[in-house]
Amino acid sequence: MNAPEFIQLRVKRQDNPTSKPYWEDIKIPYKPNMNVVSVLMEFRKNPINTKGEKIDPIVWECNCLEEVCGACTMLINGVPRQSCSALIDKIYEKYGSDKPIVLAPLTKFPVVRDLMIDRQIMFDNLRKVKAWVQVDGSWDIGRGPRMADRVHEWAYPISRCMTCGCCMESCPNVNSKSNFIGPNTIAQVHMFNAHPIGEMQKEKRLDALMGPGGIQECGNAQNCKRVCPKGINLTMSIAAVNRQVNKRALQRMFDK
Amino acid sequence: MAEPKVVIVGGGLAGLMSAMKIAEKKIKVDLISLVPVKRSHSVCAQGGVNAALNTKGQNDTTWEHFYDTIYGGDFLANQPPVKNLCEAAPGIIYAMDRMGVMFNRTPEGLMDLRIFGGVKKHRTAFAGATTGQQLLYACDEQVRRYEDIGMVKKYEGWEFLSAIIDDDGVCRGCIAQNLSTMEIKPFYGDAVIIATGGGGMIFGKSTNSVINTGSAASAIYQQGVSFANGEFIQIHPTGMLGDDKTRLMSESARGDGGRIWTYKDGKPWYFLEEWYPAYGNLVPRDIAARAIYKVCVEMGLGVDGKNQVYLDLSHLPAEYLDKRLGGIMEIYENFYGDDPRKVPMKIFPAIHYFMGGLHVNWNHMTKIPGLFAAGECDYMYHGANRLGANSLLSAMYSGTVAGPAAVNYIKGLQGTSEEGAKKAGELELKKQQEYNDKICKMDGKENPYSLHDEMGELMRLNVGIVRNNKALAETDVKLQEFQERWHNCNIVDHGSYSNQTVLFVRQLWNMMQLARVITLGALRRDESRGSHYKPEFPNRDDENFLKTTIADYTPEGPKFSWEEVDISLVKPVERKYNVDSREVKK
Amino acid sequence: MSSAKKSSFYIRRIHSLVGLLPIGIFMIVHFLINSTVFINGNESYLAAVNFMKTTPGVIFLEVGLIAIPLLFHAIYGLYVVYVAHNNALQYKYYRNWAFYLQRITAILTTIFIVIHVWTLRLAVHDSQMVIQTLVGWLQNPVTLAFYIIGYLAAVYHFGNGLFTFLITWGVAKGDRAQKVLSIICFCVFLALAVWGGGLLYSLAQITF
Repeated sequence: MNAPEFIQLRVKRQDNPTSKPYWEDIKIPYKPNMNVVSVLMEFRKNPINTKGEKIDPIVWECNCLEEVCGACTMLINGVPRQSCSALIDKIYEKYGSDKPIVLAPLTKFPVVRDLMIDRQIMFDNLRKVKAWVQVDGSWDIGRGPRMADRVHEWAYPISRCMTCGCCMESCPNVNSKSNFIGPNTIAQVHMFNAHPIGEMQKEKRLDALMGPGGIQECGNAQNCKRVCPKGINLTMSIAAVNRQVNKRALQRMFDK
Repeated sequence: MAEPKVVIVGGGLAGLMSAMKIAEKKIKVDLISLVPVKRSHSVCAQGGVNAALNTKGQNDTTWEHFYDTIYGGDFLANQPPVKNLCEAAPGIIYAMDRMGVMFNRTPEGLMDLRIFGGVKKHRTAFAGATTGQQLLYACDEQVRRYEDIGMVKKYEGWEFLSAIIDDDGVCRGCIAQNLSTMEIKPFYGDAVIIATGGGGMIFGKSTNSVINTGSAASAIYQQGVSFANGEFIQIHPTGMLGDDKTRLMSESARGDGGRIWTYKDGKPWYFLEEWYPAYGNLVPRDIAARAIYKVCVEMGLGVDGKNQVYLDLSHLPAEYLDKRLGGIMEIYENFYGDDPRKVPMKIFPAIHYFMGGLHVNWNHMTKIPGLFAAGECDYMYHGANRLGANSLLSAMYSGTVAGPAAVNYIKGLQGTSEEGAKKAGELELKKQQEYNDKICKMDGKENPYSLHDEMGELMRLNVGIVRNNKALAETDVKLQEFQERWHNCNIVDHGSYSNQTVLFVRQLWNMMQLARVITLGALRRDESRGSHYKPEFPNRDDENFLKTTIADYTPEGPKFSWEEVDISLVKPVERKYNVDSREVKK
Repeated sequence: MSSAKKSSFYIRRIHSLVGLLPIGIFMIVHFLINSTVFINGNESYLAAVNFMKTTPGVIFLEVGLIAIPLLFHAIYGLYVVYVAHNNALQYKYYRNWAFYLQRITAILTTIFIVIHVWTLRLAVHDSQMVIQTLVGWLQNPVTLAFYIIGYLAAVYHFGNGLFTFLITWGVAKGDRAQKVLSIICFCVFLALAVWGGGLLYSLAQITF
């Protein structure tokens, strides 16, 4: 691959939550080993677009730059992913270096400004399903319950979910017409229901997942698993929790 | 009287732990955080958290944990609080385990423990290579639970600007700015806990997250709180150089069998193993960082002639690596493109952690009554060098101290006037609003981001692994020039919504203040101790410098003084890692 | 039909269930009865149709086990189709295409069944007339194409629906189980497609 002279970006911008989006073309001189975040960082040191106009720097969210905080998620050439780990050279290998790289905010969340979005709904959803272990308190009462290594093996990957929103973005059933709680939340329930103490509040979480926007809204398109940057087996969790809610539904009908 | 309330600034591990402890005591909390708390920098901690659980048949004790921490910190830490920290550690870890942290397990279902640097026993509980993330999430979940019942109210996307201090010099809340609407408003509370982490961004590139500007701590410092031991900055030996940051390759890589080497005379040379036979690759971070620096910079033996050496895991089974180090395998693969299961990783030391921070008493209160500090932004537990896997512990532990201490402080309050708080709040609000308006109008020539780059490079060059007095003095002159240039900044962004540059310009000023504290602190300390290394003064000098550096703000620059270190429990001895620490003791 | 406040859990589960039971099962039975055409052409097929039409109480079966579940599945299903925001062109994964196809075939099948039932069950009643009408449709290339699309849509919808049924009811959990069952369900679709194709071919050959 011949190194291009410039890294060109096409960025979907929006000045505030209510204004109209528009496209902006920008470029910075090419350097090897850059990623989308470092390009945007470089750009704000001299924010001039390809037409030569002085513009406001691009606004985006980022924090850890190690793909563990989830903040910098955006659509890069239409794919939802973290921009810190989106290496320019890799993108060029895949799409060619002659076309600009297209950046856009995720579409399933309200835009705050430019590439920055508001993912509060995901945290609210975690609250809805009581995604926590209800301990009596954080004080020291000695050793916690034992947990089999085989449980840790599948549950640990779920605990790495960084609420980045890729799964929500790619899910056809998450949209303005539905209130689907999303794959990540279901996986969290799967994990908490497996914890020896968390298991004791299992029913509350399942009841929440049978509520409005719950697990029933899943249409098994299974994009979530494909786009998850942490490779979490979301579809396995959905099926497992399906099993749990069905059992719970029968309980609710016949145990009373 | 209004309901008592604590304002916590910072939603990382220390802040969330404080919030949890306070809500548990039925006091309400306002939690202010720059980012959604789940995205705090604590997620970046990889390797694990220390606690002498003694489940590996090695007769580990909290006393040994204490001794290793003090010894590793080159005897600069006050000893009683460190002893308390180590004694509380097992209880904290067990509580976290109950809250659902996915710690790795032994076949028996207990927490697995790994070994870390500067230590001879398995003492580090871990959740793969993403322990900080798991601990933070568990605290986040508990706080969300308290949010659900109305005990905690979160303000995410707010930047701390300053504390509200009334006429009696008592802290009554803080001023914060909304990152989206840019609204500035007061948050009143009977106590304020600052838990805003370190300030790696002062060095431009570090292993820290971009929010770790140290801006909040600096603002507090400028309001009169002392800053202690600023010159002690941990350099992590194994970082992965990048354009935007140096990414951390966890110490657990060495704990789980990773070896450091470079080529000498055409053959692999395991220099750590040769120089420090007792600990080998598991020497503490300052020692390893300096050794790598020596090999690359002084001996010119870096891999490919560059400043880098190998961190080699390729001799270990891929399955073992994935299970225990999956997180960092992924980072290296994603950001570098090579597979560390097959080829050795290329690493070089990187700015990592602030041992120093806001000066607090043993209850974590600063000298301003009602204003507390916890987590990396305090100075309490690590002396001159932090042991690996003690940071998560100190973050959580300081939260468990600061939270209840704030509650006790509130309970002891008598006759504080509402009007006093309001008056001070309105005054401070006006001041911050004016400052903000001034920044918004800056239309000089300097791009704040470029200016920050320059400062970071200077700091890395002269105040990093190796320090000498001439360069430090020059750096301070330069830093003052930067402060002049700051006044000539251009605001670049003219948007009235989510204007990140306005906030960055403010942070930059605060970073510059701390940069001087760090640089001048280093200049004054004519010895080598822990992470602070001056070739001109290669030895530790307990007679003159077994003291805590205290910096107090004046508009002309930091004013320094010394404070005695509490060494009531163990006597300082020479710190060596070519022999076992316990042998040194004898 | 708004799902904002009330949970759609039970209605969705029932929707999933009736798709297989009774609707899917009925489709197989329907195919089986059609298959009498393989034995002796018009003669045996007419006998089968006559038998069905003269079975006492068949109307209750037709309404209770077929019409009501089918109407429910179709109408609520159209709402499910409406709620999806399809993105198969952006995320070109096999399952996502299947998800999209499930919704396309839902609409096609609905149209097909409405016309199919109207022309052969509601508009004409005499058994021989029913067969003649059907054969007429199958001998015209345009309406034959309509029939081919219709039945293929129906059997695809059934095959893929069977797979999602297995996930929805928590049977197919692990990766391997999902993979194997997904292949099996696709084979069910293929088998039904071949069977249905054979039926159409044989029915089109009927001479009177």
